[in-house]
Formats: sequence, structure tokens, C-alpha cells
Amino acid sequence: MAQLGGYVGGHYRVDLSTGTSEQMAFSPEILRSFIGGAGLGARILFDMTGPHTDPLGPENVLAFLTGPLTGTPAISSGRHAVIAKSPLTEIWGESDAGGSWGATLKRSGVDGLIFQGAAESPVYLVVSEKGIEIRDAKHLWGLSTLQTDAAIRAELANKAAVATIGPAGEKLSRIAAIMHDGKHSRAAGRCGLGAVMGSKKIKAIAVLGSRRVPVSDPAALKESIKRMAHRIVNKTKNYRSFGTGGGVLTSAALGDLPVKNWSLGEWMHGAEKISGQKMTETILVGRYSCESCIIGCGRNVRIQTGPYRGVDGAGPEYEALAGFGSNCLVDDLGAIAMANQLCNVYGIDVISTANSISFALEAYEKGLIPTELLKGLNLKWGNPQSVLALVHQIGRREGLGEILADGVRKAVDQIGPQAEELAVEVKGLEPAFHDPRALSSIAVGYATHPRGACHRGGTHTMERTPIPELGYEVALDRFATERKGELSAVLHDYYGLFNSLKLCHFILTAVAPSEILGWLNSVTGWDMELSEFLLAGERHTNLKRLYNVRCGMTKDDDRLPERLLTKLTEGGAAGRVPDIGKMLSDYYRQRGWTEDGLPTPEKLRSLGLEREGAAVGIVK
Amino acid sequence: MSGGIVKVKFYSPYDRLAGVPEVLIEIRDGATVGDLLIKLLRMFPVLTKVIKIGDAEELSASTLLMADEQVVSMGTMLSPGQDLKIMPFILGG
Repeated sequence: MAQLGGYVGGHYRVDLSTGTSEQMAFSPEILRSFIGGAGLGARILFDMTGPHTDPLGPENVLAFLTGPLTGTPAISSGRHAVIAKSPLTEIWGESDAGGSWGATLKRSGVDGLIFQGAAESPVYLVVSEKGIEIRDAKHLWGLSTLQTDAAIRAELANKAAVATIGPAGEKLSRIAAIMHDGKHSRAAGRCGLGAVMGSKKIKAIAVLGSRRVPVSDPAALKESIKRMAHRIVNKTKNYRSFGTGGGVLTSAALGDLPVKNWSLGEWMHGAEKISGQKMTETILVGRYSCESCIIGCGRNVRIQTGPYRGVDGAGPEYEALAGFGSNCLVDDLGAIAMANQLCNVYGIDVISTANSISFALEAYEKGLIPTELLKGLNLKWGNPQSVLALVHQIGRREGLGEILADGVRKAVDQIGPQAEELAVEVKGLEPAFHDPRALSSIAVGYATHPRGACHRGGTHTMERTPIPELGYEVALDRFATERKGELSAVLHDYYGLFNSLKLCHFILTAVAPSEILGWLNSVTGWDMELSEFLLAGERHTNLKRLYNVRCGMTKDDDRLPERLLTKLTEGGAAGRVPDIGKMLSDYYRQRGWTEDGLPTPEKLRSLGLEREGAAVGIVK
Repeated sequence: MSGGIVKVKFYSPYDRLAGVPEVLIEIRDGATVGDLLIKLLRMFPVLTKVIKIGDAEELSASTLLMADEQVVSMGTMLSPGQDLKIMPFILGG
């Protein structure tokens, strides 16, 4: 049998308690069914953890997983997934990052690293073609992410790509991120997986390598890339010009930009001051592209004078601009750039941090925060110093930050039920800054995504972009209820496939599913048909659902917070509330699930998930 | 012929390219967004580089057009007194 392209040498299980590692062999059938990245991660997490796994205990798994396209010339394939049971949500935890780390891991001859156990004292790992080495990291513990990156790269002659946690991950903040690539700050931010890394006492993972990733039919891949490159560049040119921050104006106009902890609908005047366009005119000093990317949405910014002097590195993306900007009423781009940089340095998720801060500002305004927690802190909407002070406190787990460092849901537990109405989260995960009142598919997308209120399920970006091969031949009205549940189900599966292949979602509007499948077949040597490919995406989503069901999640968790179901009185989404009930029913029906949101035995059999269904008690 | 005025508000970088933040354009009864854009691009030829009205799909992918808080397209009828916002379309991230 010919060698399978796209996979380089295997996945390795590293037991930190014993300091040993061994190869985990996945059969060709398993790889074809679960592909890699988050798909394979679902299989690993389901098999190795369960409802009784403490997310911050040694029994949890922390997996860094590439996909078969990672490290190949396939456009925008420089991504990897990070998987664990989430300490923030206590269900399926998934995050991913771009940059160069994943591709470098592949070049070291490793497809994925699966960590279990916990080291007795801080360690970092060096993964290279020579093997996996566990080194002492006591001298790195307490350092920021940038300091850690610089120190390790110096130790390794500046040849390594480094994934690291900052002080927040060490202190087990449930919104801690895992940061990659030093000043470029590519974050696996969501679901608090930095805390899982901290619980295992892994400060960092350095990867080095120069092996080529085998491609089964390089000529076919090259020809396909050549054919698609111009189309991708053309369709994504606004991302290159303005970064994702260019979306601030679009979202503000649509009523999609959250304002004042999701309570207002109009902030166009502020949006103009903090947009990606404004960044381009003011503090932008360069653009950044991840491995094999031809878009270049990353921003490099620098501020050399004034109160935010010292900002130097990765610029704020849309989520930081919306989260620290409009949702906190801060219209100072320099302050937002500083808040973003602090998140990167402490290693905390921008989205959860910013949501926690807007929650705190409102709770403070309403007098809900006990004085003893404030320690003299004076919080005000629109005041950059209030926001920056809270970012510091969260990063250090000090003062009010001690509570906010575990996310909004746990903050309500501490502050009291009167704060519940201010808390915006789904299944414990704070939403990305896209408002479901402006784009109704976001509502059902947030409510049903396996990791909580996730914007990476694709619905909001695709309402306007038909995908005929997925059954969507015309754009959908952004407020409509019809077909949105079905669309979300289809897109969760399709975006999930991107998370398994490890492709960037930003090429998705320019490339058809069959063309992506063409890349997969050219790389691996498979002869997969489109139906099998799409079925794999459905399999991945269903397995993540089974994992969550086994963790105790029910239909009642597929919900939106009251704040997001309250009509706005102004702006591009004024007077609109999504019909979440109807869309949920449509979502379940599209999936072949029961009205209680459970996969049926027939559905699981059709996906080859009988064993997993039996483990959850669905398949007898 | 009756008709009226539509106010077009440019957002960055279209305002910089056009050299003005907004412009008033006279339309006839029954005019569409497409009619207005043709007129607009005649007034500001530099905008033809970024507003591609010849390709509906590319226009939709690259430019957001909103009239009184509603997303509109080339075929949408306009009414005198409406405000039309024009900006690059980016959504995601």
C-alpha cells in the first residue's frame, strides 16, 4: 500500500507524571473517518476522558493536533487544534491557532501531541526530529508569554516555534489562552485551555523541524492551488487591506457590533474611531501572514508616544476592537491595542476577558459588586483606565480579577444571582462579538455549537454567501427564521471539517467544498467522494455532541441568555429578536436528532458511532 | 420628472478616496441603488477601483450598502430622503 500523504510520523502520548512518551497509532480507517485536528481530537477526548474528569486534574487530556493539510502548500493550512475538556465550560473544549507552530510540529515528524498526567514541577518540552525532550522550566515559571518565547528561542538558537502559557495559565485562570509565535501572538484562546496546560505544569512547547510533509500528488495540488490563488486573494482583499478589524464598521452598520455589554444597538460614531481602517491610517506598521497564507489579515502595530507607548506587536483583531471598544464604550484605539497586548502577554483569551470586563462595568454601575472586592477600583464606561486596570487584575488574578479570571458564569456565582441578567454566555463560554439580533443564524449557531457561544461555526459569515454544493444556492435574509436552523447544522459540520483539516475559515467564501476535498485527496492519496467528506464533518459534530451529553448537557443548555433575546431600540437590528425555538427545532430535525436534541440510534449507526452511542446509552 | 435627494455617506476608506464624507445625489422616481451607483461612480471615478457594480457577486462580497438600516442591493428601489451608507464589507474574525 502506498504511503498515506499528509501524515508525517504519528501522534505521541506524553505522560507528564512519569516523564515518558509513546507513539499512539491510529489506523488508516480512523484517520479517514476523523481526519485530524478537532475531528480526531473528538475521538481522543471521548475515549480518554469523561463526565468525571476534572478539567484541571491530571486525568484530563491536552492534545495539540495538526491536520493532514498542515505544513503542505495548501493555502492557509498553517493551523493546529488544541483540545481538552474545558475548565471554563466543563464540556468539549476546542481552540485553535494559526502561525507557524503547527506546521513546524509536522516538520519535526510529529502529527500531534497528547498530554496526560501532570509534572511535579514546571517543565517545557522540546519536540524535534531527535524526539521529545522534557526540560526543567522553573526559570521560566512566572514569565510573560513574550519573555518565555524569547528565553526558549535563545536557548534553542532562535530556531524554534514556541507555544506557551503566561501567568494566567499558571494561575489556572479558566479563561487562560495558549499563545504561539512570540510577538505575532497567535492565540488558542477559547475554552480556557491555557489553564489545562498550567495544571499539567507545562510552561511551553518548543518545536523544531525541517522535514517535508509528504504529498501524494504534488502536481495536482500545485495545479489546484494555482487555479484558486487569484480567486482567494480577490475575495479576501478587504481582510488584507484592513484586517478583521475592518469588520467593525460593517458590524456597527448591521447592528451586529455589541455595545455597552450587549445592551445598545448603535455606536457608529465610535466605530469609526476604532475600525481596522483607522488602524491602517494610524498605528499599523506591517501585516502578518500565517504559514502558507496568501491573505495576510494579521496586523503589526506600534505606538511610540503617549499613554500607550510600548504597544509593539500583534494588533487588535475584530474581537478585541469590539470587546474592549464598543462593548465597553471605549473609542480610543491606542487603549484597545494596549488591552489586546496585555491579554497576549498574560495569556488570556481576548473574547472572554473583554466580556468579563463589560459584565463587571455594568455590575459595578448597578452596585452589585461588594466593596471589599473593589479595593478602591473606580470603574466607568468608556474609561480606558478602567478597562486596562481590569485586564491587569485578571491577568494577575488580583482584586476583582480573582473572580473575573474564571469567566462570567463563575463571576455570577461569586457576585450573586442578581448579576445573572448581565451575564452573557452559553454553556459557560462567553460569545464572540457578533450579535444574534442582527444575523439570526448566529442565534442558533451560538445555542448549539459544541463548545458554547462560538462564532467559528460560520453561520454569520455565510448567510450572504451561497454554497451550492451544500444546498444553499441563494443568500438568506439576515433576519429570517426560515432555513437558518438547517444552515447552521450544515455549516457546523462544514466548518468542523476545516477544523479537522486545519484550514483557515477565511478562504471558505472563495473555495467550493469539492475543491477543498480535492486538496485532501491530492495530499493523502485518498479517493474520497464529496458525500463521504461531508459525512465526516457530520460525524465529528455528532461525536462532540455525544461527549457533551455524556457530561450531562441537555436540550436546556441549547439556549441564549436573556440579554441577547431583548429587543434593541436603535441601530441596524432595532426591534429584532431571533425566533430561537423554531430555529432550534429545524437544527435538530436537519441533524436527524430527537426533539430533545439527542442523536438517534439510526443517525449514530449511519455515522459509524455505534460504540460511542452505546457508551452514552443511546444505542442499545 | 419628479424625484428627490438621497444622502450618500461614505465610510473609510471610501471617504478618503472620494475626498468628501458624504454627498447629496438627486434621483428620479423609481430609481434603484444601481442607478444611484452609476451616477455616483461618474461623479467619483476613483471609486470604480473599489466599488465593482459590473459583478453583483463581487459587489456583495466587497461592499456593504445600507439604506436606512436595511441592507440593499443593485435592484433595490430608493426613495427620496433616504440615507445610503457605503463601506467595505468585512464580517468575521
